[in-house]
Amino acid sequence: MTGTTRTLTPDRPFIREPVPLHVQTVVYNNDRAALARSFESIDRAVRRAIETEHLVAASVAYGDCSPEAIVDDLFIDELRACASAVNTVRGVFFNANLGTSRAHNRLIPEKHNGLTLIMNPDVVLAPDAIIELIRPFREAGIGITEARQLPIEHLKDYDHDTGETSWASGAAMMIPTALYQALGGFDEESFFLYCDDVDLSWRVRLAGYKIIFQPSAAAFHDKRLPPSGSVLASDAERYYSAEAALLMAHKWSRPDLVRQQLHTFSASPRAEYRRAMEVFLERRASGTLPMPLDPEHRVGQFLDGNYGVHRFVK
Amino acid sequence: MSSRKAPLEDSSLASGVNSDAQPVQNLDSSGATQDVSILASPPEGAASTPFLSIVIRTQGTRILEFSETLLSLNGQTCQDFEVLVMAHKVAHENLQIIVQLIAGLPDALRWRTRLIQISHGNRTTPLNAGFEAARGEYAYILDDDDIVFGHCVETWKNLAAVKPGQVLRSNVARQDVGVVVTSHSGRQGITIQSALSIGRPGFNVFAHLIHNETPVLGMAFPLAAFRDLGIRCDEDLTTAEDWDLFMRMGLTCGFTASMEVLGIYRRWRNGINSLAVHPPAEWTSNLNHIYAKFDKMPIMLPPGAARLIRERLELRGLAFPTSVEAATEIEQLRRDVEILFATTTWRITAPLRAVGRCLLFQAKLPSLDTLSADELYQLKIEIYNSTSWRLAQTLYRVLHRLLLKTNRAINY
Repeated sequence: MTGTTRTLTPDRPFIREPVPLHVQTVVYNNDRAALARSFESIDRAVRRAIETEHLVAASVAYGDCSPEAIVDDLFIDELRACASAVNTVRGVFFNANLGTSRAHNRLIPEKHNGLTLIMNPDVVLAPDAIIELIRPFREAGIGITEARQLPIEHLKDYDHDTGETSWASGAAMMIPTALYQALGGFDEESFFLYCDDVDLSWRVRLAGYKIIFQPSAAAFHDKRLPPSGSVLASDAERYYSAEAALLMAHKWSRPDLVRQQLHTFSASPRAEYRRAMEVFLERRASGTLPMPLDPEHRVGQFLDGNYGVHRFVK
Repeated sequence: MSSRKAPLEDSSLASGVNSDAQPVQNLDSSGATQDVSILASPPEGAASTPFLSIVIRTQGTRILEFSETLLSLNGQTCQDFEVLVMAHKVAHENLQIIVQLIAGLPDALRWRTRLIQISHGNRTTPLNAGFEAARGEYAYILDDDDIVFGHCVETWKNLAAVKPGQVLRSNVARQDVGVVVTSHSGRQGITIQSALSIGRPGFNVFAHLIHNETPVLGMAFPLAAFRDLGIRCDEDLTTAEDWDLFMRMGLTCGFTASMEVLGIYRRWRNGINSLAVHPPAEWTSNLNHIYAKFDKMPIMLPPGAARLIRERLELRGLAFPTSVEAATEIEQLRRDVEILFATTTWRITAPLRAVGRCLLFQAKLPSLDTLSADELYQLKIEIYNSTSWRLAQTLYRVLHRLLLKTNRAINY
């Protein structure tokens, strides 16, 4: 996605009256019943937001990166049939795994003067979640709002008076469509699976906007807790996680961390870590790494392997 | 299970959408259970007997928390369940809020949700009422501030398919939570105040004979045990009623446990918990009542229990008697045999045994002081089974009858 030339300024609120909402979700081999449940919760929340004059209309778009189409015409018709408040539903089968960043950038509407809700396919919204996510945009300087996930609330810290936080999770975040477009959306050249949301949040902050965590906007995200308490990552997850960590450190002007991570990955017995290191070095040699941002570290925050302060860290 | 309570209520959650709600009748002063409304009609072809009946007790004072309980149910990967909201002694205005909250659910969940009003009994009463109204194969009890993970119902269903009819058990996480209102929020929200902790994972039935290690959201109950075996919640209990039911049902029907973490037991900072609500004497009284019930019933232990008992007895040195216990036992057996030797029965039949020994070339009995506990026990049994002892007993019975007849003749 290419950025637009639209001029935005943080000293004006994005909304003053009811606006249209665009909701988009990237699908990869997800269960249709779960998608339908998620859609029904969106429709319910949209209905309430329209009834309370927070929204005027809503559209929902699914981008399907699965090897075989999950979100086909028949399924979209089923969703349309059960919609009571959502005006339009569309599905796009990409016929390739584009990664979440590229797929989201393809789904964003070109002409849209409202808000965009970016959601994971395994998220179910509380009936008033959309209202609570919209509410902060009536004030100036708010760039992204983030829902509170349950059953596992994210450990990143936030200001309990204002809700201000370091970054917003892409599992359920709302952003003015114009701001998303102005910033060029997610950095699809750098991030395939992880950290695209952190990077977008930090660019929003770099542009002078705040990220607001809304504890009153509840969203059920189907994340689970293994009995051991620690999540076992797959090989692919380890690879993309390592790749994203290197690119985040590079892009947010932390060459010291890049060196440290390269050293760690080069000595790792895991092939996926060494592969991530090789790909990074190849990109550096070919000059295709992203331009570093925030040299004064006004926004980027790397703390104990986290992108910001985490609560309850021993 | 606890009666923990968050220090808030918020009716704004339930406002806005109530167009589908039916009017709720007044509280039933007669004390009867009243199924006040079914808030939506099931679609055609919907299953009438779900796998799971989720029984949620509420007093209508924790609407914020309750809304998250319902949200976590809406997020279940397996939707083969019904929800029974047991409104217990709820004031009319709070009942209206509950109705509106249910009315705000997506249709697919709303038609599977029933609101049942209970105006009598203690906190255990709504559970029996919920079990009676349940249409499912299993019952799952939630408090109105519990939340569950997305695979909760799916896991229960898979477990029950493997071991149908058994009591199901899972791990449960714990987390401290509180209430927060940020300047941008339209209402209160919940915030975590600790990391998630799992505690001791796994199920130990022996530990559960002593105390409860499973929050209620780690238990699922086969409703056949309630319907067919009459194993009900004990309404005399004011605390630990879930543990009592879990054990009585499980020790009768058997247990099946999963290592999965299926729910989060939320502890409210600055809230009221069950330890504070119920005085220690009440806990102790309930505990003793439960112990007494355990002691009266035959119990079925899960596979592996015999090995565990053996290992624990051996570990604590209880598998074999101590030297003091052994000495006491030998002394007692020796006294028993000496008493038998001193009886008239044994003494008057001594000539018979002497003849027998001569004819059969049997050795004389050894000194009792040289015999082990096993030998003394064996000797005691042999005396009772010996021909001379049984002959003498027969003679006694004959003489006894003759004496009775003689006495009767004299009396006439």
